[in-house]
Amino acid sequence: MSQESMKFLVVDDFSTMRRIVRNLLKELGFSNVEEAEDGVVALAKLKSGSFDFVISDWNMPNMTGIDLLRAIRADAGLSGLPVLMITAEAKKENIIEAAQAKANGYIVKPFTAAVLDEKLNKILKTMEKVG
Amino acid sequence: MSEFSGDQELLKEFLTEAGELLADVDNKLVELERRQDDPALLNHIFRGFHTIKGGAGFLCVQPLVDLCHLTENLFDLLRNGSLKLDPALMDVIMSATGSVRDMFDTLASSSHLAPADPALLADLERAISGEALVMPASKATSAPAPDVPPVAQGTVDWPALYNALTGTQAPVEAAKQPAAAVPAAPSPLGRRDTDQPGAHAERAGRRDTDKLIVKENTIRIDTARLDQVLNLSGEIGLTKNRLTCLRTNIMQGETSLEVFRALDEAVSQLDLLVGDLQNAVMKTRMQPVGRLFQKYPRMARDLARQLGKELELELSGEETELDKTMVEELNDPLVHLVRNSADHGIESPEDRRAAGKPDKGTVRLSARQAGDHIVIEISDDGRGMRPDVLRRKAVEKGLLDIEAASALDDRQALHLIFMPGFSTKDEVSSVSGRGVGMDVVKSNIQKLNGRIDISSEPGAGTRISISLPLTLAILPVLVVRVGEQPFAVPLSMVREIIPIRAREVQAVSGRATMVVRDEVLPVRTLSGLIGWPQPLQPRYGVLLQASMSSLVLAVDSFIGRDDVVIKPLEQIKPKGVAGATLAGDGSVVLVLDMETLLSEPGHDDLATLFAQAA
Repeated sequence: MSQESMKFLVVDDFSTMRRIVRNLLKELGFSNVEEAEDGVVALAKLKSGSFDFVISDWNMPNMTGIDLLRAIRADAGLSGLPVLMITAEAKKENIIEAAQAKANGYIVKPFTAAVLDEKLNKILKTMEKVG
Repeated sequence: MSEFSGDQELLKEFLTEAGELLADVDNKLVELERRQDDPALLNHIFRGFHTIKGGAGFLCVQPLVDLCHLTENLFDLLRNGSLKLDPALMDVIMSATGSVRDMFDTLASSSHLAPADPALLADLERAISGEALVMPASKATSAPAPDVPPVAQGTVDWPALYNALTGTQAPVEAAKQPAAAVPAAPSPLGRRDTDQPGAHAERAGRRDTDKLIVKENTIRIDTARLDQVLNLSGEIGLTKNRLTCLRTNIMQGETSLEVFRALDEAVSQLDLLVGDLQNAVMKTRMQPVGRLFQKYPRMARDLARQLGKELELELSGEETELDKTMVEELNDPLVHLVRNSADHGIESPEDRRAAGKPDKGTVRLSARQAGDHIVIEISDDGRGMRPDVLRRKAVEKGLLDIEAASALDDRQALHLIFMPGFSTKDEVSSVSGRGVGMDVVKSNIQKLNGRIDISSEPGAGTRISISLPLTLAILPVLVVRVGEQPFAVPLSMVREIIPIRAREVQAVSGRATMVVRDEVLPVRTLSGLIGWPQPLQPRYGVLLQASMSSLVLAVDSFIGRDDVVIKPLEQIKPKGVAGATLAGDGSVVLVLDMETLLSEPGHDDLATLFAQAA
């Protein structure tokens, strides 16, 4: 699949943050981006649309990022979806929790386009190997 | 470090969104004082700081990141129970949010942000490390002044700490400022004096301009509302095409009944669509009044502490929507009214106990839509106002003579508080009571075409209600005629229209009056108010509800009600004219500013006019 057509879902309750991530993705050549403001909305969108990649914040009302991740992994139709977790903390227990819930990557705020690019490529490469 | 540091648009968006979030956090903090262990509340506040920190990180505003980070850590400890909330800690948290807000204000106008007050940061650090904070005994009541002596907080030497942290000579003032005083007085927190060495006065001046710039000129609109506008403008385009086509037909001489019927149909459709479009556009400007309200509980809390009173501000109807301009213009009047209730209305806990009331006073702020109006009410269960005291004060202050004062009924006496120069408190407090308040509140509300009313029961409380039109863009008016000239009177003042029969008009001490449903009302001619001759006896009376009193406005005839768009008159400002508008036939109609007109004595020879006729 070509990079440009990859469809992203950016999940964050803070719209400024969604815009930041969207801008970074655009800079990297990904312009097919949709947004969701929490885990519940995200899950509904994921189930009804064909997304290729999820970038989710951790701390959100209604359904947190980690719960969203668990729900994705538990859903037969979505379980293979790559998920990149964003958080403000580089806390060890958070990273372990994310890894145990099978997050594909973990990125700490604030980050640059270059860092995001590196993480995305790493995840996509691993996916190719597996797939 | 980040590619967003220079992005002004993103910064603006961040400030808007984070500002709302912070106001929400502020409210939750007030709630937290009552429910100290509520985990959901603690979590909510934690997330607020966390989110602001995350956004601030991308925008490279390190001082904000640092401050939010510490506060967030503090709430992390609070929510997992390893730290207990106490009043001293609450004060530190309150000044932290105050400082975050100051930083937002600074960011809105300048790109440079100085670190937060080191004393505050140190307090946060100490709280996180589990050290007990010493609550300075006097800080709740002492108004922060530059000469406040340094408050003993543990054994920390603040100036020395400041030096250690910043590597500069501490400006003594900044270090002396007790942390808890921050929310009450916007001190130059977050900006070191060393930023602009020696430019003390200048800096103070800039603070003022900062405030002006902060006024938002962007608006967030639900996309569904915007789509509605788009939809309707499309529909209007289609109807216009239909009309163009019909015009061609008619110009070519086609005058069949069918063409006219189609024309009639198209025009009525256009009528409907334009009305809908006006509505839809108006809706895009509507903002929930809660955005305004949510700032006040925190303010009320700080005030109560400052005054040594106990009070709670209850909000309701926050979802009620108002035009954006009005939401902004309402802020100052509402702040003043809340302050007044807290300062003048609510009694001290001792007085309340003596009066058999609970120690804690309640101030209620509510909003609701009533027909085509929004009603905002602020009521308290305080001491209320006594009309006789108000009358006496007005006489003492030389605002009225004894005769005029005793002629006022109780409701009118309450309205005395809106007179310029009227203030019931003899000594001026720092909170309110400068006597420049209520008249400004009233004129602000009138500027918005609103009405303010007041009712009070001595010992039981006061209720002030503000009634506002939904929008300023369109004004419903009643069009009346003097001779052949039409004039528009704001419909919000009109209660009803009655015929005037000469024998019903009676002269009471030289002034014309009329009895309408057992109420004696003065009669004044519109012609007299605008200084026109009145050759004929006026046939209709418009019963007007002005702020102080009701009266019958006598006119020759009336045309009907209309929704008009007021065009302000440039350069010429005739007294009593709010603006002009175009009637359906293209003629100019003056929209009258009745409050101003009625405040003039005018020259009425109405009594004689009717006396002759009768």
